[in-house]
Amino acid sequence: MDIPYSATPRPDTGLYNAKVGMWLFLASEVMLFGGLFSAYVLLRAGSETGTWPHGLLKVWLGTLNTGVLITSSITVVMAWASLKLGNLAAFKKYMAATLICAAVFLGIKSTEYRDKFTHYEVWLTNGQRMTGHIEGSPWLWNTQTLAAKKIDKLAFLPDANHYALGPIAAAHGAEGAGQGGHFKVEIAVAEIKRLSAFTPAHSPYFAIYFTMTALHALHVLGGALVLAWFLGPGVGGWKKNPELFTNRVEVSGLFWHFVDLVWIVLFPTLYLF
Amino acid sequence: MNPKTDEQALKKYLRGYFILFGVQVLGIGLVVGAHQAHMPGMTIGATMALLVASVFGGFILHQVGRKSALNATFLITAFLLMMLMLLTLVAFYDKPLGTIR
Repeated sequence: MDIPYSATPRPDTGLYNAKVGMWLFLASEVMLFGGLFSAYVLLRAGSETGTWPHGLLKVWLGTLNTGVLITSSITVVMAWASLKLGNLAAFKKYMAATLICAAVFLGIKSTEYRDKFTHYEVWLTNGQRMTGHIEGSPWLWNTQTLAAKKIDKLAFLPDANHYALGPIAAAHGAEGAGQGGHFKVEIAVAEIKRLSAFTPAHSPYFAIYFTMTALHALHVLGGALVLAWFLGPGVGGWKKNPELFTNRVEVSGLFWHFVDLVWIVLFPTLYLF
Repeated sequence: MNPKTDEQALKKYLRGYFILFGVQVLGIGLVVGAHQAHMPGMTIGATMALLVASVFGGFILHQVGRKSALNATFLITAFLLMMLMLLTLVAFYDKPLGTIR
């Protein structure tokens, strides 16, 4: 038995089933991201003055990713429009472009994550703090790693500026201090109170940053998998029932626009403010 | 509706989409530009304008206003989201007795 209104709109509402379902799902998604945004506001407003990091994310990468997502929104609309015009070849072309954009977005996001996992902050027992890189760029070290590896001295390449304290190199009297951060200091591990990469454990800022961006990236990945299905194994649906197939692509596109919109909120919130 | 009219309607619909995407690109450019020029007020204003333009552009494009079932969903979501943000404000000013900060 056929399910009614799966391909054609219901006369009284003008909607087919999947569209109603998608809008209801998006309503629940608005509340999910709304709750996280609310958590962000409270964490930010409750942070001590000078402790909320600024300038640790690369704005140009975020801007590039925004452009990539907006482009993918255009291509997904074009893919749907191609189906409406009965042009399956054009649909495939635009859908492939959308998937490439999704892969580029996730690739850039992964690069940003990798940068954070190799970028550290060190708190010294004398109260000084530095941000920078450990020589050799190891991933995800922390205070426990130093003990486990039985390291006595840490070769640290400090940044020229600390996100909250301003210039930091002069405090260590290193050669080339403040000239772009290309100098090295040796820190005795006994002097290190805490070492942390820019991971969720580093601070409330990075906890909320990773929660929101990782959840968004999961949405991008999930959406891309669905769109890839329509381009790959699911494309046979076009032959069986073109209208149903077009509707499915349309609601997937609706989800994709939502993912785009969420990023347009996340980008300024996390990268610029 | 004949196929030609269908195509014309689709092109008109797509034009709306392209205008919205153009607004998004310009808006993001404005937001980033204001940030680079160290104009925090302008950055916040441009972000809000971009968000409102995107939501209402999407609302109009998807003809939500013409479909009462979607209107109800949209209104309830907007109401709940506003209540959530109101709760955020209440929580912001809610400090336990004896709190110094």
